[in-house]
Amino acid sequence: MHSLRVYLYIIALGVGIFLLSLLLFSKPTPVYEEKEFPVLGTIVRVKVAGDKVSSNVLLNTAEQELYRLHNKFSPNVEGSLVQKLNTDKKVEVDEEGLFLFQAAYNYAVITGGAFDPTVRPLLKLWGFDDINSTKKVPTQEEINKTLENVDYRFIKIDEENREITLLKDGVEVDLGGIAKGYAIDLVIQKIKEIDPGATGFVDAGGDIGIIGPKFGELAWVIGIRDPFSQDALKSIDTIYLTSGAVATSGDYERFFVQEGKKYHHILDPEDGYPAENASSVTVIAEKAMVADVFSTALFVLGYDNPALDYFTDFGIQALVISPTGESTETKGFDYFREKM
Amino acid sequence: MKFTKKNDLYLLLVVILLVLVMIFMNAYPKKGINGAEVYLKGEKILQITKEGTYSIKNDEGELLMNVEYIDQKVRVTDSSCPLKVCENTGWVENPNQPIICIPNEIIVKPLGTEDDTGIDIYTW
Repeated sequence: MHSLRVYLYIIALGVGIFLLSLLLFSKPTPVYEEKEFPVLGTIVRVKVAGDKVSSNVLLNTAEQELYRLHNKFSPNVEGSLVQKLNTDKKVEVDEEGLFLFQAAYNYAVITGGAFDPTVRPLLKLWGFDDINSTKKVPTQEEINKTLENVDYRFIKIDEENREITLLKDGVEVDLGGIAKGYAIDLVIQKIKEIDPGATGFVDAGGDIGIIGPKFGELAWVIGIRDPFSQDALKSIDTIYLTSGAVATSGDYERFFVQEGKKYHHILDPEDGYPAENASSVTVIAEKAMVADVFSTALFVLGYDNPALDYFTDFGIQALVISPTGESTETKGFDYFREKM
Repeated sequence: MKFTKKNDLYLLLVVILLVLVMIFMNAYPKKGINGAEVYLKGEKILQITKEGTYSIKNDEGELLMNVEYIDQKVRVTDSSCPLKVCENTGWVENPNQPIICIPNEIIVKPLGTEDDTGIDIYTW
């Protein structure tokens, strides 16, 4: 009788330990695969776990889509729509091209030119058009001359004939501020078409679109980089997303130092100099394209922007950090600090 | 039948102790990484598992950067790129965060068990 009881206890103990270890050490089922692609002037990282389809198939889809968009919209790629437009001043576009040019134009209107797709001549002048270009501070005269060619109204979009025209010599277009976000959205869309239950994210140089919640149920924990720290992994704030997108523009991303002064790559289309009224802007939106555009535009508009809350009408929430470290945000931004 | 014998209590104590040890082990996962992978233009060219400094060269044999792996941390030095963003990233001991050099198209991806309590992604 006594020994039977001991056996029972040992068995119970064994089962207990087994169940506990199962609970504590088992990994949730989805297996994430990730891959990086050097496209669109940055490195795009896709991390995905398939639900019905293998993660590697989804990564291949993402790769195809990214390279297709890279070859179609990068101004530095020979034969791309944008490169053709910049050399021939005229290009015929397909539906997708028309959509992206119209989107860029409309956002330029909405932001009063703070986001401007014709900023490329300025970027070239400063050497920010390509990672290998020589960076230098131009003279005021050079800037004034180049500014004459920076205005989104020099782009003419003929919807009927699907034709984009540049109305002035010297005008050049760069869809960099919008194409990266569009690429994120499209990759997510393609993955979802194949496998609606897939989860993960697409990270294009710090601009992030969510494919689906972590392990199908948890929010992704996203750290906002501290603009005042050399350490790229130091965050000043944390947000939680299960869907949607977030993008940040910062003065630490691409810059050079000349005579002790730092010059970064977000140029103000108004005066031709790096925008100096913000050190970082983080924008949360449903689509990465929208987040991408508004992070740039709100950076140019600066910290002391009285109309910040007005922009929530376009479906965004924003956090703006001033060059001295103060922060201001739209009313709904705080919602994303809650772990859902 | 009596159910609360002295031996039963001991057994219960052992079970509770075991549970506590397990919870403790789970709450403090090992820090650091156990190696790194180096990708050049999207292709994996090197798997680092032993401590040391590794030179990354292009097809022409020119030095692109050195990758140091020591004390379960990894960093990039002597990069040929203009802005040195990869060098400024400093020591990395979080497998969630690769070191990226855009001009050279190099990614140094730390290997290890991911830290579930921390940040998944950075927006910058």
